Amino acid sequence: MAAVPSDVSVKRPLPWLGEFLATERQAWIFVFKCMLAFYIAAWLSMLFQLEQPSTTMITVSIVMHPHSGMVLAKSFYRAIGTCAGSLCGVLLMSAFPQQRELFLVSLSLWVGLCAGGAVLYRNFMSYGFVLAGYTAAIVALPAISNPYNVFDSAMMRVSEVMLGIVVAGLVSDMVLPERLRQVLRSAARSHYGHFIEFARGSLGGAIPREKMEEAHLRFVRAAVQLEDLRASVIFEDPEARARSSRMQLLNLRYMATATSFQSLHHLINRLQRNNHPRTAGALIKLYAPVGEALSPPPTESTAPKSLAVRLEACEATLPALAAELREGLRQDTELLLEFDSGTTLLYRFVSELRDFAALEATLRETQGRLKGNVERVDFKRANDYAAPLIAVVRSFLTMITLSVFWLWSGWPFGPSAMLLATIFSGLLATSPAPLSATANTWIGYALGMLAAYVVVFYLLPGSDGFAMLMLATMPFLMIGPYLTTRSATLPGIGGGYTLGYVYILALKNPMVYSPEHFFNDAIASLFGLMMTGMAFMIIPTVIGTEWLRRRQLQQLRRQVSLAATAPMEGLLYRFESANRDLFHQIVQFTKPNSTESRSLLAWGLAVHDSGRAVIELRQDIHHADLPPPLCEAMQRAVDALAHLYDAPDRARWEQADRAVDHAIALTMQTLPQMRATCQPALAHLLQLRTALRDDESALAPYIVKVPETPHAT
Amino acid sequence: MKIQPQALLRFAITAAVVIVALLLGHALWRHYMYSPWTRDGRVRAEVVRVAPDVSGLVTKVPVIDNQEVKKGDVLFEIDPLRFRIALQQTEANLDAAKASARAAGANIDAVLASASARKAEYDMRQEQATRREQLAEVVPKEERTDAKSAAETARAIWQQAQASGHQANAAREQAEAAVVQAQVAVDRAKLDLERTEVRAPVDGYVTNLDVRVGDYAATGSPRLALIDRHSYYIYGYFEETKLPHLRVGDPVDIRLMSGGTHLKGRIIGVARGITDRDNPTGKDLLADVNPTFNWVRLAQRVPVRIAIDEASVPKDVVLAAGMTASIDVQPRRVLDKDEH
Amino acid sequence: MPREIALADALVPSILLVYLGCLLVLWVIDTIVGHYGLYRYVWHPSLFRVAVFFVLFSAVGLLLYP
Repeated sequence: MAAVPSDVSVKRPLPWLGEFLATERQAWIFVFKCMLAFYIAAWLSMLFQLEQPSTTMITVSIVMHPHSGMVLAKSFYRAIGTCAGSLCGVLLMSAFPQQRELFLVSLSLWVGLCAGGAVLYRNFMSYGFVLAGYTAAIVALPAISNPYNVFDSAMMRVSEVMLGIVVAGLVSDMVLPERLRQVLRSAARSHYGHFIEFARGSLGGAIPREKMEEAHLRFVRAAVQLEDLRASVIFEDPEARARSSRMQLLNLRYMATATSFQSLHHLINRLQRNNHPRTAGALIKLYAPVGEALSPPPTESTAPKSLAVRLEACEATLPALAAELREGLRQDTELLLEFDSGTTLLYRFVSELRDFAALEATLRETQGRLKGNVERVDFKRANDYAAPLIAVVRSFLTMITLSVFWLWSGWPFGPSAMLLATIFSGLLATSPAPLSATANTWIGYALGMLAAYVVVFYLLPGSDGFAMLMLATMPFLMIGPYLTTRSATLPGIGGGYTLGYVYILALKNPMVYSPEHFFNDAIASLFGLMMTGMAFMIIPTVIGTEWLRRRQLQQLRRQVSLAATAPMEGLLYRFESANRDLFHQIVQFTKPNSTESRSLLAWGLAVHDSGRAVIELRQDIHHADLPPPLCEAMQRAVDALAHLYDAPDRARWEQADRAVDHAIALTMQTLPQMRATCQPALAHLLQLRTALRDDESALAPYIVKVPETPHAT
Repeated sequence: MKIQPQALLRFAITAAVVIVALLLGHALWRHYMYSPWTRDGRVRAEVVRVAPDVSGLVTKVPVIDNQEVKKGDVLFEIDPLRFRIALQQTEANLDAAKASARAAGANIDAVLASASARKAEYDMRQEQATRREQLAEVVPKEERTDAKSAAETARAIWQQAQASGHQANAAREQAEAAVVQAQVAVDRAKLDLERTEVRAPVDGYVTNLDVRVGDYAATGSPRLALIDRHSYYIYGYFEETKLPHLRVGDPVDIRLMSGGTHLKGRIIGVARGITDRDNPTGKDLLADVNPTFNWVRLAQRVPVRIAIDEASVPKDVVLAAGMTASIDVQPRRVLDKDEH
Repeated sequence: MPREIALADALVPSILLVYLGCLLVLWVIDTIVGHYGLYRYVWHPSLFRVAVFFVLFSAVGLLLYP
């Protein structure tokens, strides 16, 4: 897919021309598909004698998206949203038949809730919520002044919207489809490649913190992107559906491996900084064979399968090398402890990396369903309820204001304004810069209406039959989807243009030409759009604001409490995925390399590191049969850590440090009797302690510099 | 280019399935769009709008709404008192007329008798005059002339009496006509009295009973609808594209929306005209043509009248005019083949 | 088979039910084909899928309403 244009560009004498043609080609394919969908939808809705073919066309204009998987996924949720919305509209009408006030209040509430849902579910599910609000409004609003045929009007609107969804879905799925699956596959491969590359590149051991942070960011983005893609792809491809759980498992292994890798390198970094270069050096030496295993000689294949085999071989040689290196550090028990902890971490990393490579290999080499059962894992999303709540309040207030204005002024086109406000308060609520988005949409909308004016009053009256209709409307309609493909430079204009054009065109069979209606509708919809913008001004969005980031940071820190208290079943994946999702949201709107983003990154890494260690430690507590007092001490340490991350301050830090120290001391006492069970637990405790005392980490401001001296000897 | 055969196979499989899909889809489309059936059928019935023939106060309504009635059953009654009185009066008038007829008859007798008397007198006078004339030598001239004029006078009187006889005759005829008139009035009063009881003109069901005891019912204004129970039929509105596939006499399967009851029927007629909705008549009898035309042309629906086979209506099924029915025309394929 | 079916007192054309049933069958077929990775033998999977749907739908429709 992506290979075709690049091939073309290679052959061309003018590379920029090739590139230009490639992007233009994509854009025009999209425009072509949009036109096809628009006119098939219009034709069918006229053939089926639906009342307002324009509703079908509006639906198509909201649904069409350059990627086909997205359309199918969106259509699925849209269909559900439409059903829910129309049901709600009819219920509202029947509950408050002659009570405009109550009716409008509850409708506003519903629209508000839908906008909130659209914000809460950030992926394609949000479209379902937008639609639920839009359908309820489109079903119920026109019926207020004509209550006798609410049900008929509801059925008409639902059929129209459904027809639009189905046509858009079919067209984008069948005509020159853009396969998201290919995107997913290449994304998964490139992330895998990057990770292996990075692990190989850190052969020298020490990685500078900036590079580490950057890598972390990349890993997080990769994991979230993979999950997003996977969730869309399962709608378009049954094969992907059958392999979905494997892909989730792959993502889990990817995340787990990345975390272990980072923990390991944090440990090495800290050791180097805290004047333990020998231990660090030993660990780096121990790491060397892994790096070698990852860089096969050019004669051998670099396929994941052979990598997995090499890693397995390397894993077998590690204990011997570890014992040898351990000999060299024998004189200092403290160093030895650190080294042991590093070894455990390294073992974990290698085995996880091997699993990851092996799974990648099976996924690449097999077709169809994979044999055997896999553990079911779900990507957990971390949601913050503040932003949705604000969206609810904002949309509710917008709708209420419009309704009050409508009722008081007796403006007959109030419903049009409300309808537009409903659509856009849902669509724009997720935007981080809704004001400029609204302004752009407004401009696009106005331009679209202008074009529609020309078409309706100069071109259409002379045309006769469907072919002429297409000829008359197409040139101006094409501008919309084309602008949509340019949404990077002109965000919102394309969507606004298409919607405005289609809405104001109000295609009917036969056509009704009514200039008065036209202008009233135009003014009403621009007014409604403006009201949405004003609502965004009065109640600004919190998405991307510092306040929300602080809240989300708080939530991120709470992840450690989650790791410390939640039931163990499936906890690892929950922690890893929620952590990344949350972090992704936080980082999304910060400027790269700003102090803020660096502090956020520091927190992200700290939470990651400690949380994972806490989970591993709890696993030790549960599985290894440690003596009860030891278990208790460890549990106390875990609780203290959770306490610290909940609201970090010096006292809590001290408390946590003491608890961890105490647990380490107790474990060291029992170590000689039961080495096998205590060793991993001790390693995790030590990892926690280094994370706690790391003066480069986010916890640095809370560190009380007292207990450092005894270990330095 | 190594994978050519496999690519070809892949393409061939897809193409084959797509072609089959297109063919089947086309067949289904044709079948569904042109096979003669419709969801848009209505049960209809002939309705008698029952109005009283005489005006008056309603005194009795023996039926209730939706009651089944037989032909001749009383539906409601208008106060008969006034009509009875009217009858009595006309009867009295009749008697009077008869009496005056009799009087006229008697009068004729009297007049005839009087005429006879006059004739006798005239005869006598005439004889006298003739006798005197023959005795001209004996009787003086004056006496002769007197006798002659007396005879003339008697003759005139006799003729007058004769005329009176004619007159009396005419008077009797008049009186007899008056008797007939009075008789007609009596008959009419009787009819009015009879018509104070409004009776069912057909077997059927009382519907929309809009009359209460004490109402004033005016002549000719309908007070209830009576649905003829034997007149149920169905109008199926078929799209014009389906019309070529049905003809008068085709058997029809009717499915009522209520309870899914199946009825049998048969097409008895196709409407030969519907209103052109794009062309209502405007002012001054000029056409008011819609300036816009449909982007996509839609089939109009033409009513087709279907008779219900009464034997196929189950006993417990309630048929009501206005009910919705789906109509599936069973095309007479075998017959068609025979015809061609 | 009747042309219409009463669903919760609403009379719907039974072809609609056939449509929904065919969607279900298509989903099953789709899943099975996906499980075994048989879409390798198909040039344009989504076109193929839609075509299969129309084959199913039309065949059932024509069989039920002769």
